[in-house]
Amino acid sequence: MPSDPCPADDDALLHALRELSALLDPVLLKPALTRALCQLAGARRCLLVRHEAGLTLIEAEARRDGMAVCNNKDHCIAGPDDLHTATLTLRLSHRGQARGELLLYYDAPPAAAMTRCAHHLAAHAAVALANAADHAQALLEKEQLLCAERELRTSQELLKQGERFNHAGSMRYLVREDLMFCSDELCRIYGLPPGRNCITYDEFASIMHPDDRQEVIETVNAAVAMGGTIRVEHRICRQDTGEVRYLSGIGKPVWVDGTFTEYVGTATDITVRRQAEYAIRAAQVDMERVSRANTVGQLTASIAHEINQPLMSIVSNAGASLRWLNRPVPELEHARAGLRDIISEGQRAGGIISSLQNLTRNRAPQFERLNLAALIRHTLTLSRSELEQREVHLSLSLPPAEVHVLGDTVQLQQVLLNLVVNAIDAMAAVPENARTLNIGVSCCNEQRVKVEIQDSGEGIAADAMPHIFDAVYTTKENGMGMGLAICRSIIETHRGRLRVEAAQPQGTVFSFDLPRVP
Amino acid sequence: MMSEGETTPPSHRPIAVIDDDLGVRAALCNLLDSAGHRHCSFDGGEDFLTSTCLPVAACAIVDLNLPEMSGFELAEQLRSLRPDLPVLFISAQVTPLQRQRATAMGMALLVKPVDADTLLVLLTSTLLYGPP
Repeated sequence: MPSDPCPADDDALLHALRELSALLDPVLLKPALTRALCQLAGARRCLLVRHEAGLTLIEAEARRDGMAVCNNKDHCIAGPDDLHTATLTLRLSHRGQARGELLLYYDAPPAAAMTRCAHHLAAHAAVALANAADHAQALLEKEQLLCAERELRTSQELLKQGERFNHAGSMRYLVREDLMFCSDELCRIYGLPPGRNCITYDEFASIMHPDDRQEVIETVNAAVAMGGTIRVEHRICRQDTGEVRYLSGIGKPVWVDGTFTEYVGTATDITVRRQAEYAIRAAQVDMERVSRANTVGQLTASIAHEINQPLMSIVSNAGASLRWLNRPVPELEHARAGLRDIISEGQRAGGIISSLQNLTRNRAPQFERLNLAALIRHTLTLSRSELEQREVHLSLSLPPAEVHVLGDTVQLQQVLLNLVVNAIDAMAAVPENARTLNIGVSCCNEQRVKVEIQDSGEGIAADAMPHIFDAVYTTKENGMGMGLAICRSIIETHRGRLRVEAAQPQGTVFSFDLPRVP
Repeated sequence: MMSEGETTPPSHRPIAVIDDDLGVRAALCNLLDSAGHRHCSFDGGEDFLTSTCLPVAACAIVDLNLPEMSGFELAEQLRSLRPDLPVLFISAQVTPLQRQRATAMGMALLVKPVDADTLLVLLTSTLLYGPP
């Protein structure tokens, strides 16, 4: 039977408490607690238990054998024997939170000093366990935070690379503060100086191509006013190099509690795609020109062939008839036969001409009520790539109220497109910054509306002016001389008149008027 | 055959007209008739090559744009069958390439509508002196 140890003196107790306080790892603290109770409070055996799910779990155990104290099993379930034979059961509680129990076993009832020592230790153990648990929790949270931060870094890096590969930048626009935060890639696309990743809306507008600025600002303002999605395609002039790039942008408001204070969005550099589209378009235009030239050539050849046959017959028969008549004794019957053939061959030639006319005659125009401004806008979308490629500045002045005319959509578009293409062609020789296409609509009065298409080109020579609407007259190298003649006839079908004048200070202005309808 | 050609005066030997257009063919025959020439006519080169007219013809007026065998192909064949036979090409539509080829073959090419007097003068001189 081991001799009872003496109750610990104050020095030993303080020393032990200091040691226990320093232990912040619960794994080390728990067995240390049980050991301290065996050593200082003289228990033969000490269990630290925790109640969980109706079971009592042993978290640490110490036994004393003489003066030696050691831990043995831990983390097993305490049996009824363990629970019922304990001499002292000390509840551990700190700030109202249970921290388990200490079960102390003595061979003989312990002295009051021992019991008091046990209570001191138990009170301290609750605090130490609470501290250790807090510490462990803090460590865990720190670890999770580090982990989250690492993941964030990785995903940010991936995002950056993705943006770089796709030439797509992203941005965040704080509406009230009027600040736009740009991603690295967006800064690169805009050509912002290094370290400059936050710009105002005005600065953003200044990067935009002057010809696109107004339209983009209107689109953005309209969307922001009602919290709608922004979708724009526009050009920018890079802030560093001035290089023109094509961008496709999209922005969506971030709604929080029924309101929004910011927009997030992306801008993708679509210059390469756009250039490819233009190249295809240019190739198509070339192909159309070639095929038109071919068609005209083939048409001429086939007309020549078809008409020359009866002409050949007519000329030969006429020559023959003259000879029959000029004989000393005129052969009248032969002459008559030749003349009859001449009549039928002449009719044959006429038939060929009228069937050709049927082939090329345009269908009757389909008149309907048209929104003139919409018609002009639609025509301009058709020639947009041409305008951009030839760097022609477009100035459009449409009346604020809608103006309607009675006309054939296809024919009027044909006229507008022809005049716009002519205007673009006319400016080929002037410097790029001096190429301006003005399209204006003005209401002369209640009855009529006037459309003007003015270029800033070299103008039409005075001697060419009177012939400009003549068929088969052209000043273009590969023109057919049909465009303006057809335009004038279309406008006349619409009860209007197509005119041309020299523009001031340079260029040409074509104008036509049309009757208005309510 | 050659001996026959030499004994028969040019005006009595027929002029062959090969053109697929009936109106043209009839008118040319009428014109030749009125000028006192005999003639035979065909709407394709194949018919002429198998006809009795081939050995006796004094000259051939050949349309370039024939439906089967082209005028040039016909002339090539005639070159071996009747090397002495002068050929006058006529065509409603002449490309620079066709004109070059006719010149290279040493044959006249007239564009329809051919002036009646021009054709007859050219024919007479060809019959007298050979191709221009």
